[in-house]
Amino acid sequence: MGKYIAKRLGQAVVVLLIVTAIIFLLVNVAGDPTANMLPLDASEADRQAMREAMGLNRPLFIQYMDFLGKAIRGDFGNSYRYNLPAINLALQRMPVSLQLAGTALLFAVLFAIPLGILSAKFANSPFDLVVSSVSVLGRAMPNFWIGILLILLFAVNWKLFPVSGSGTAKHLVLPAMTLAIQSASQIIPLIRSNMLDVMQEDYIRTARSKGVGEGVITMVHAFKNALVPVVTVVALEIPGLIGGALITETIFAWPGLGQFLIQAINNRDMSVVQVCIFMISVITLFANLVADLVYCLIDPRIRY
Amino acid sequence: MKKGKVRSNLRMWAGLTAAILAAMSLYACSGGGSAATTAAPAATAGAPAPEAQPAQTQTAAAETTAGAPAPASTEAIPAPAPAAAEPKKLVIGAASDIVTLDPQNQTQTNTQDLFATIGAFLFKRDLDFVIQPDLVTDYKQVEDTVWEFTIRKGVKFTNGEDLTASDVKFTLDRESAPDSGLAAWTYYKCITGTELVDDYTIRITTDIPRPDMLSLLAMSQAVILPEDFITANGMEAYILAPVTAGVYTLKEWVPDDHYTLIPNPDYYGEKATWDEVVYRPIPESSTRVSELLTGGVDLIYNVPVNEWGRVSSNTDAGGTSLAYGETSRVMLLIVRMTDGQPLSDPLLREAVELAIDKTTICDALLQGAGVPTRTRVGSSVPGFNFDLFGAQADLYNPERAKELLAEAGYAPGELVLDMTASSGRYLMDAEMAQMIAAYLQEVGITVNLELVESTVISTMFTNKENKDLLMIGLSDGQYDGCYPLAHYGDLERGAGQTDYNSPECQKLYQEALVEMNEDIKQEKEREIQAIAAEDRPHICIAQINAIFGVNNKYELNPRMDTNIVPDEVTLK
Repeated sequence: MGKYIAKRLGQAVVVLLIVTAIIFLLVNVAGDPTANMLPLDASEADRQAMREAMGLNRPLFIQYMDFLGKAIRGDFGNSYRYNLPAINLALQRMPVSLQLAGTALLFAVLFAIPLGILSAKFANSPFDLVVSSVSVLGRAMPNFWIGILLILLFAVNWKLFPVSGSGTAKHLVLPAMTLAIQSASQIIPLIRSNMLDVMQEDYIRTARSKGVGEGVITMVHAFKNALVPVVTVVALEIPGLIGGALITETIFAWPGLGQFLIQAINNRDMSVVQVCIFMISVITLFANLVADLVYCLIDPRIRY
Repeated sequence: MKKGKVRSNLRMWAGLTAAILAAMSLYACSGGGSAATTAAPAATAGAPAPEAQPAQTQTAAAETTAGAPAPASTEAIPAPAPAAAEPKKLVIGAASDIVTLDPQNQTQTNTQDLFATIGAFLFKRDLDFVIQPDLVTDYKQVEDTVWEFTIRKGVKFTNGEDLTASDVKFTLDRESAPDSGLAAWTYYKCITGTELVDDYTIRITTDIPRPDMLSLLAMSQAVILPEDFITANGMEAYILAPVTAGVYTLKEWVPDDHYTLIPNPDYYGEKATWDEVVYRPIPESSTRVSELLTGGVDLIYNVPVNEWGRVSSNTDAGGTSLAYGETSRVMLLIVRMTDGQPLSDPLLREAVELAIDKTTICDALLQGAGVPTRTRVGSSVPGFNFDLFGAQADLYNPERAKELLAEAGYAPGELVLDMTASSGRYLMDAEMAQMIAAYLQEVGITVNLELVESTVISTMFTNKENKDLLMIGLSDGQYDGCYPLAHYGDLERGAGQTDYNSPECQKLYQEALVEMNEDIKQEKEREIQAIAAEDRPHICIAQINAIFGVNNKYELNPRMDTNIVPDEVTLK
């Protein structure tokens, strides 16, 4: 196991190197950061002077090597906009993003597991039909629409939660629900279909013939075996929820990494974009590794 | 066996649940929760705190404010009877957060709002946008290129240090240095030298005579910086906790969440109106409007047209209404009139302008939030040409446009123009572009309209990648007539974009740029506008208004720079 983890970590370093190169190239071809820093009608001479002062006139390869050399030491450069170290600015937003992602995932799992199991248990019943329809609807509805709908219902009309912002548990509910609805909508059909497959297996029939109760069969024999693919989906949801909640964070004015990233892209704040994507890549790799290790816990037959 | 499996499962689930709960607790206690964030300004103003210095700076700022009847020190002050009265608090919802706490490295409205409120300036603009002395008690022009300013004594920064002419020199030297890499340099590069006459008098030398010197010194980038503090602690310490001398002081900034201002007890002028002012960035416009409707915020910027009804008809939280403010932003078409391009023909440029019904765009599309114009200069900017504004600026005449097209040798549908516009950057920009394209089609000009994302349009503009027509909104950062007219008077500005070359405009511009007699200067600026309106390197459509949403408890008179200055907001 130790050897496997070491090998995966080694691969992660290579992946991160490739990711940094791609981010660097993409961010550089995306546009000139001075376009948004100077007044729109500043002269070309002024822009050129600013590019020189910021070192943006150097060859791209030199800029990349400079970036890489510093990145290895944990220095991703200063944000052009904030004039502060980009890594610190991104880390500053990480706790609020983790808070939102953690809550959303918790909501999603708490909704999805019972609904998925019950849906399989009562397959093709009216209950199953309703759950399946709602989960299809959840996947089909764009996040911004769900978010605005929740704001109008729960904040403007019923005044149960604040419209936006952060600071209290109440502030967390609507953005977490927005994200959870989409995540749960992915997980519910997966649990349902896996449960239906597993319930057809011989060992389930054997357990039934031995007189094992339906509850034990469902939760112990069937659900555990249906869980492996679900773990993969949940693991892949984590980086998406932390770094990819761009729209939800913007709608709810949630001061997390997603909103920070979208502003940095708009402002061409290269250092910030680089560090945000880098952090999301690290989280993705880590989440995948954890998912692989969790497989072993769920199914002892899996060994690396 | 079965029981063993059940136990094993229970253990697994218990473990997973414990892990999730532990993670949740960690999140809640990690400082990510806003409660922790707001309680620890040092961490929020720039969590990095690379050295001990920034943390000390934050403490120093807190100590300064603690010396006054500010929230931090209320326990130490004998509570007077009215202390039980609710503090006067104003909450403002902005479309975006401030971008930096370096006042000289920004050109953004929200950041300008902040520094206009917490900073001290040599000059400031009042509600009517007239330049008034702020720190300056006396000034004179020693020579054409040399100005002398005397500043008031006894002004203190929030760290207790005296504000002197040396701080003014430090401020101007920093932003006029050629290698500064600061956004403000584009405005202040004209300053070639500063010299201290005494502790409270400074002389400023410019490269050429600068009649716009006072307007430069009234810009938000000219907020006076504390020399001693920055020399001792570095600019990073200032950025983490600005030391200022304005009517308010920054209590805390939680990026992307809010910043809070409290009165500066040592302010030299009239005392602050509000006990606390909170700015909240709320990027999504429908969320911003919902916050206003529910009383979450008292004022909001940028109410989109589709939300006007919701704001005007709302009766919750005391009711809300709209406030219209004039701006210097003009929506215009940048015309590529390069030789060989179709629009190099003046007849076709005229046909384009005559085909567009500006009045309908302003009345029907913008619902009154715009005024037809033929000049790039805002109507409140000195030097503005009134003959090119209002109903007379709408030259709509589709029949004449068709004739002009024919005179230029084009049959209906034969002239094809590529037009680019943004979607979502300005008030109803995509819809305005579509209307313009439809008007042009109506007179027989085929338009290939491309709508692009907000930031793409600025890149196309700055990289001069505009095709036949590019629609954009341009404003005047300096509020001086010469600034927006640079495109017509400075050959380099237009090169590669409109390729406009008018020796007459260039001559007038060069003269206006150094003309110290304000009346003559403005006359020249008006002449340039009249020439450009006929030559049409820009086909101006409308000067657009800023639309604010206001809780009915408050009175807001919007300023032309669209800044909300807290003390200009009053309780009804």
